[in-house]
Amino acid sequence: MLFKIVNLTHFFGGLKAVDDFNIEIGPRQIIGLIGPNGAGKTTVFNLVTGFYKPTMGKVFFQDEEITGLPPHVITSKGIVRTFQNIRLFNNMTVLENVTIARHYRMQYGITSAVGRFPSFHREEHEVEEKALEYLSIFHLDSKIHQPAGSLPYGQQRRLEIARALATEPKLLLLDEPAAGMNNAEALELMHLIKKIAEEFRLSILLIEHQMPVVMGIAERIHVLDFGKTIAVGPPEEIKNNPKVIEAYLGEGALQ
Amino acid sequence: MKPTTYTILGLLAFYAVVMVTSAVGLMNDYILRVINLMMINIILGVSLNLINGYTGLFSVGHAGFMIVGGYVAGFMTTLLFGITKDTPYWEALPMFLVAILAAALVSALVGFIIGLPVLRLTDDYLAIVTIGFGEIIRVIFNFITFKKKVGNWELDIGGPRGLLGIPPLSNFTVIFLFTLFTVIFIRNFVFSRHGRACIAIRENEVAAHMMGIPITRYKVLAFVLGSTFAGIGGALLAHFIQLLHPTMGGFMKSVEYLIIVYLGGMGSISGTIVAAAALTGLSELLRPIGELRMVLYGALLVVLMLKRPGGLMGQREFPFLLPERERKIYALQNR
Repeated sequence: MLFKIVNLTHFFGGLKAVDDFNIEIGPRQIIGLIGPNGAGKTTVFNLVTGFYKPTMGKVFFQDEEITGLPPHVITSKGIVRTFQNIRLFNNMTVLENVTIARHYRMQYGITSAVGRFPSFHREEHEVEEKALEYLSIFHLDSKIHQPAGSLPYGQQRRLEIARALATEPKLLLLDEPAAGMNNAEALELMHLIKKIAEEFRLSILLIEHQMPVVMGIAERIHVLDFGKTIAVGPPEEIKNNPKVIEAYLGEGALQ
Repeated sequence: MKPTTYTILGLLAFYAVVMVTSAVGLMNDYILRVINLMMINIILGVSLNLINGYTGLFSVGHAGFMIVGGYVAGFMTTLLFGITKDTPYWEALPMFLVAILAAALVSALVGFIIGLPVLRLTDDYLAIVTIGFGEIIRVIFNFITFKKKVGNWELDIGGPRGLLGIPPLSNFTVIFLFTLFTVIFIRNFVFSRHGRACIAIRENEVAAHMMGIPITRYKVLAFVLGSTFAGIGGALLAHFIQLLHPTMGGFMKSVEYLIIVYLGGMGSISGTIVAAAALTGLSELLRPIGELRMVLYGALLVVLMLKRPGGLMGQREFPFLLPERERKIYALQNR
């Protein structure tokens, strides 16, 4: 098993934001995580990536416990995420945004940087080539020297995913990547995500509100409501699950 | 010729012109002093820019680190090495360099001790702690005194009257070389993976952390490096104006360096250099009107912040200050 969460529970004060959450993700699986607003989806991401320390429960990655490790260590293990509200380095160029993701894979120290030693030039050259590869996959290679903040919304979304991929993760957590996109754009993005998952042999855990999108690519879907898992199963089953419909449309919607 | 060659030639020309004109008497001592002071302020401004401009921290205690370096070097040259005005320069110089090194190390250590606990928290705490630090330093140096025998007299050195009689070891060449070293060091640092990490933290701390950057380590690193160069600046300043006073480490002095950084542009070495030179020159020009110049100073800042809130240069650099690769990108961006 690539990734496993066992009995994950988290409190914000007296509020139980995540209640006994369990999930298993194998290699090259795309799993969906859905639920109404405030269900605790993003909290799960924050717990996995080390931004919050869980009250209870354990997170395993490649048979190693990673519960509560700081975010930069989680990244170096091979898990990376994108954010619901885009978090780019706006004043840095598109290229620099991606090279940052390669930071932890680079070696040269401060002395080499200040003295401009050969290792500095070699690694900087390598990182640029590598970053350009990722940018070309997302058709951003014509904009490499523009500030990231000046890109249109859709391209910023794509850049954020390119940047996450550049860390060479094994598990990618996408937090509403299609937010703010119309149906056509969202579907195009989903095709892209499916393509990169195959190309980079990735597992993906996906939070998404647009149902047609998540139903189209996830092989299994977990549904959260008020922190509790109310349903797990393949998309077809979830679509017709009365509990899920109730959570989304309100009690009594089926009568 | 490569553009870098022009930069080197320009620096050599500047050095030669100052040396020749001051030697033949075309440039008087006063102007030379102002130039030296400008360069020391460049060291302090550029090092503060690394902390506040590039890494996005908010240190308000730069003068505190400056004066720590000044006192360390000053005590060493006057008391430990016993250098006086009459010591031949070539004998005193190696000891002076050792004193500068010691000043840098002590400032770095103090920066580390303060930075490590505070920078694990969010930035606002740093401002409060560094204000406190400046005041603590002032009080501490008020209490540190040494006895020194001069002829039949036993003199108090240090304490509230300040540290007097520091030998004038900072000449134009020494200050010029250290300024050059500081600017090149910080420029090369900033345009490397380490500098990028600092800028990424400024731009978005959460995303930087997720992208694998150990943010606390880089914040502490930037803070310590900035403090180190502040210590070097302080050592040079002490041996230039030949006296130190505890109040020089206080809040108001730190504000002067903050103004240099914010006026020049947060995250612009070029801007800091321009602002340090301009403000040092301006305060000399306005000397005849006495304290009134502070009013003008303030008005000028208000106008600048209204007209150019990002500072004179924003985050831009003069092309001749950029490394080769960045210069090419600059040319592409401004085609």
